[in-house]
Amino acid sequence: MERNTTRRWARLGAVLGTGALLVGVLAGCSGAAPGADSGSTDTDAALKEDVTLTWWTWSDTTQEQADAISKAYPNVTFDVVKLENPDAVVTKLQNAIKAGKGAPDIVPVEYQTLPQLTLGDALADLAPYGLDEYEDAFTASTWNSVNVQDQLVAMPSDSGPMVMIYNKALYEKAGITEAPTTWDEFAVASAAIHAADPEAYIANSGDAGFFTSMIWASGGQPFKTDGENITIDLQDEGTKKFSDFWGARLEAGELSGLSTWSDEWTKALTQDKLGTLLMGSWMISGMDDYGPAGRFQVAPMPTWDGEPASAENGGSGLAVTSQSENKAAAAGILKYLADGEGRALLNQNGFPSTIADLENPEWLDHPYESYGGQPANQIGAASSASVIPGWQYLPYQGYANNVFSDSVGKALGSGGDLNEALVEWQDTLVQFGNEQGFTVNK
Amino acid sequence: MTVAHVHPQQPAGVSTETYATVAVGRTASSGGNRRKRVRRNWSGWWFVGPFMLIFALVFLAPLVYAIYLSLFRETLIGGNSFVGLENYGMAMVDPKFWEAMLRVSIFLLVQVPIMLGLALFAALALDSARLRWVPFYRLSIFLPYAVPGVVAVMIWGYMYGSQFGLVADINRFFGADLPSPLAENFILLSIGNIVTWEFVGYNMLIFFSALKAVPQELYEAAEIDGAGTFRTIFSIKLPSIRGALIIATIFSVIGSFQLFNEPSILQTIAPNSITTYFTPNLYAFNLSFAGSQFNYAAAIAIVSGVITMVVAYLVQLGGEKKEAK
Repeated sequence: MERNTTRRWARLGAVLGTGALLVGVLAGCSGAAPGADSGSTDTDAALKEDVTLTWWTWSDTTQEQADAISKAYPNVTFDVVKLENPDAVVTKLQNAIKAGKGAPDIVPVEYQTLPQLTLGDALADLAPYGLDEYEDAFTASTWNSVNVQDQLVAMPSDSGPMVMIYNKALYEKAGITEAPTTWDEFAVASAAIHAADPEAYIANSGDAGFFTSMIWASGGQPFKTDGENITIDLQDEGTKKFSDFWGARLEAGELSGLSTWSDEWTKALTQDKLGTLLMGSWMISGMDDYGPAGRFQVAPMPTWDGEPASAENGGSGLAVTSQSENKAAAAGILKYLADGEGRALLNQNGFPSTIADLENPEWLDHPYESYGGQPANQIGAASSASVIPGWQYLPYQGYANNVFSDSVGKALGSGGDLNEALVEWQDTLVQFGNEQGFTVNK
Repeated sequence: MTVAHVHPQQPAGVSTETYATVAVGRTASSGGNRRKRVRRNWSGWWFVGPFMLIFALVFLAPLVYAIYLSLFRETLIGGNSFVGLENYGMAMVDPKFWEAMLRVSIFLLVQVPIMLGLALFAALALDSARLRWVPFYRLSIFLPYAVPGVVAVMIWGYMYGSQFGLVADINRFFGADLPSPLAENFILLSIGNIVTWEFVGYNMLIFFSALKAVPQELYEAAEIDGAGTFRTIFSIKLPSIRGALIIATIFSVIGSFQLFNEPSILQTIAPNSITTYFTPNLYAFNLSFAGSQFNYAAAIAIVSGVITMVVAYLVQLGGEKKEAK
């Protein structure tokens, strides 16, 4: 009797175990299970019905925007979920996609993360919903960013053509009266600023996002993706040009080691110890916190040969997730935000990505108090026009930026050889890519 | 043939007949004598059931799921495939993982003795009856433990700042040239300092309450025998709280291997000093959430869990052995 019972339990266990295993395997296979979407691409019809759209965000102003949209579309209610930062949104979204459920309808995605999420089938192709018709409304560089692997995976919301925001007083104290227009002049200013005040630096050494944008602005194209084939060359001409230049500043001890956005970094800016921000134009409207009016000025990015050359740094688009059960309605909202009234709503916060807004005289001439009345948008708009075309991010840029600190970051922190560190970073990325099933550098 | 079949192993002193009957009876019952079945009483399960359910759900299920995950490999291209123990093989020869293990081992060997030594000293001092305001001291030493870890690291992160923090102020005031505590070479030391500050009070409280439980008669006897303060400490107090010492050590060993919060938060202000594989936990975290390598991260987590268990067990064994002496 005893033995019989044991055997029965064992058999039950085996059945349950196998069942669990099967469920697990099936769940594992169906990474991105499509939601119970109606499949209709008629966005107007979808917006006439009552619908609740979940909208994840990292921005404080999304709730306001959602409220305003609800006024235009009374049938649509929004469930806005605020997360702490873009990385948190990506992580949560990837987990939801992996789990097969839980993703929102609308989600903002940084341009650099779009390839990664597209590869993971996290985002819906928006072209069938008619968003491809808006191509001419957007700048070439942002439109290029949202078109990944022959799919339109997002609608550009803001953009980040790079500009140089510099502390005029600090530069002048070091005898530099004009903003540097070339990197050679930047090097001269760098030495002068650090010599005039040993605690002052022209810039901080920067993070992965800064580094890739600077490589971009220097004409480098280290990442090339063609389907599953990837080429990584972190020693191409443009990359090397920048890393040699930045390495020389580092070696001379002219770069601050403070981490961007840290408290100490903020203090350094407000106390005239950090001279320059090389950042996306979205920072133009964000300098009020860092000093009295007129302390900072905005200038075009320095260049290598005097010809204007710039890159995108940051910026994001709005996407509809592959799990959304209301794709047509969500896409309809993105259409509303693509131009006209809705676009104005989106542009209240952030640097525009639409040509009409970038050419709008009223916006261009808007004097910024923080720069002593300078119409700084003009510089951002000019930068937008000179973004070097052809840049690509890796389909695993999130990982790349994460492990940046293990190699290049380490060199930046300890004053090591930047080119050696870039090669080390490249080796890590090549190995990861090949392990993940890509064909990298083969 | 009237004689019953004689079993070759018939025990001496038992008549053939008796033995045969018993043997037959036994055969019959094992053949399924349903009349003799005892009804099983399941009511006990109602008492342990809720616990077992929660135990299975909260402790066993995640563990089983992690082990299950670790046997697969899901790649960005090519999907999910069963790889057996390959992830474990990779972990065995992963220099990043072992560097992280070595780092927390060094941390363990240096930080834990210092922290427990300080905690023990504080507990003995509070127990010595020579201090006034004992509750005040007890509370102030314990206070850091009540500060949330995240906040603690933020406070220390500010103090460690070598351009605008406390270190900068000290340098400026004394004209000193202290190295930056957030530089690569000093970061482990700085983390050790934070952890010590956080947990001395907690361990002190464990020791102190153990000391409070020592029977007063022992002290009286020691006094009559003429034992001085130190003699009392080494011959009575320390042996009496050996159990608490072992427990605190085991907790600290586990805590060291699981080091995560402090480096993870400091990473935001010192990203160039703390690698993504600074500790085994941080490595597993980054593997899964930045690299989407959930399977390999699960293997790493299990290997480091096993190592932690082994070390903690060795500590316990060592403590018990001493006790046996």
